[in-house]
Amino acid sequence: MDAPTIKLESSDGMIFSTEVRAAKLSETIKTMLEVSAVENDENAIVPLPKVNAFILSKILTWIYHHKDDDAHGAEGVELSPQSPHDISAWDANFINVDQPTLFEIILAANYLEIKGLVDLCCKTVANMIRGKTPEEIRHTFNIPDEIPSRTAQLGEDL
Amino acid sequence: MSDTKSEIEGFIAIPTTSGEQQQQQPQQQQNEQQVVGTKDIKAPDQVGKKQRPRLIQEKSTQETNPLILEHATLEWVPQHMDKLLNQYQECRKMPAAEWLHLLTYLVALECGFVEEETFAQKRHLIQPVPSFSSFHAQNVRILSEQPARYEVCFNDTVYIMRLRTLLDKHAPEETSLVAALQCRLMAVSLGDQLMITLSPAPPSKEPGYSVSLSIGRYVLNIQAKNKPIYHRFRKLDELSYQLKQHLFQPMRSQQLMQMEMKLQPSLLGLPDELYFEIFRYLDKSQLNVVARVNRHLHFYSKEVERKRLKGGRS
Repeated sequence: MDAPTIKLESSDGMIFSTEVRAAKLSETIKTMLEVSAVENDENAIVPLPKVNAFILSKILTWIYHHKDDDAHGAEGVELSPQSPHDISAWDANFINVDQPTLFEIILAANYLEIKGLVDLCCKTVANMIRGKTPEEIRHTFNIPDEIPSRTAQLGEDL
Repeated sequence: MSDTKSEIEGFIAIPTTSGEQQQQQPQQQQNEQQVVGTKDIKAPDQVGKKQRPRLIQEKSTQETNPLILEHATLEWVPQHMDKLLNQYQECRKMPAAEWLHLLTYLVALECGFVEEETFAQKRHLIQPVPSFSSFHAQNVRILSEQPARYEVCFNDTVYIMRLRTLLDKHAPEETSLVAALQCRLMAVSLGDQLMITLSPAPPSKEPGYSVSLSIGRYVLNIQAKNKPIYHRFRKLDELSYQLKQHLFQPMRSQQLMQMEMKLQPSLLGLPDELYFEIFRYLDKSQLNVVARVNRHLHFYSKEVERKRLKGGRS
């Protein structure tokens, strides 16, 4: 028997079809389905006005992979026992994207309330920050230098 | 609206015969093995230094119907790439540097930029692009149907294009603010290198961004007969990364900051709750380092420390 599916419409008008079970990893989508009572209507289209097609396709890839995670792994991030900062090989490969894409995924995952994906992205950004000097962080994230006096003032506040 | 929609079936298992299912399993296992075998996991800021294995689910959508240049293959290219290149079928002898310039333009479209003259002519068809996003499939497709408009100077070694960033419908229309959305894309061919610079339009004092690309790395000099032009292109994922990371994202972010668009896909443009999510993975010494980056991050890192103290954390 085919799994029930739902159609999701990106902000730029592309329609993606995915399993309802997978889509429900998003609390936002889950709520939309419950409120509108269209869970069993395969012709229904759920609009996602804050997620473009490219990002939505990426996110659906992630939730499809994690749709069978058990309750213990409900957050979806496959943790290594060695360190809470570790990321599974699959997730690391998935999040191995350019920086603009990474931050768009963060924003979209936050909007869609996919906790496991938000955790993965935030952990990835934290790992990009860790071990770097302030100058290196600015360079990594294209952050412009502020007026030297302000930076000095920030230093004094510490 | 329905006429312009495209439906992607990529995340549902299509019923197949037993034989086909069996054939698919080794491929999936192979991909999983490739993923599992990847021991040297690099941070996103090191992207472009290794070839990433592809996954079955991603193959089913990205390879047969790729949305962006990054996922183009010899067999399948994004529609906008196909549309734009079809307009140059009679220009196969165009210099490799110029082809690379066109590829750069395609990436610009994917990042929410539009050539100014094209924008003036097609603005009634172009959809708003919110600040927290950049790619818009319909916009990219519409814009790629128009030829790229650029100047060729200095014995065909310099290509200049005027671009504008697309924003949402709430973007102001004041002249000074509109100017903040404008920039100039200049590509200079120097031997085997193409030096690409993206500069804000005057009188802006903001910095520009540049990157140097090896022409031969991305565009082959050999054109096989009866083959589409895109067979000359290589390493498009790497090219896309270089351009997005070093040119278009920094410029777009800079422009959004000038427009005071707080929500944007960068470390400085996140909602409050996400800073707390990110910084909870950093210890006190690391938060102190972040606090020195700029005033914006100083505020949030101190908020995290304050919350930890309130919660009795160390």
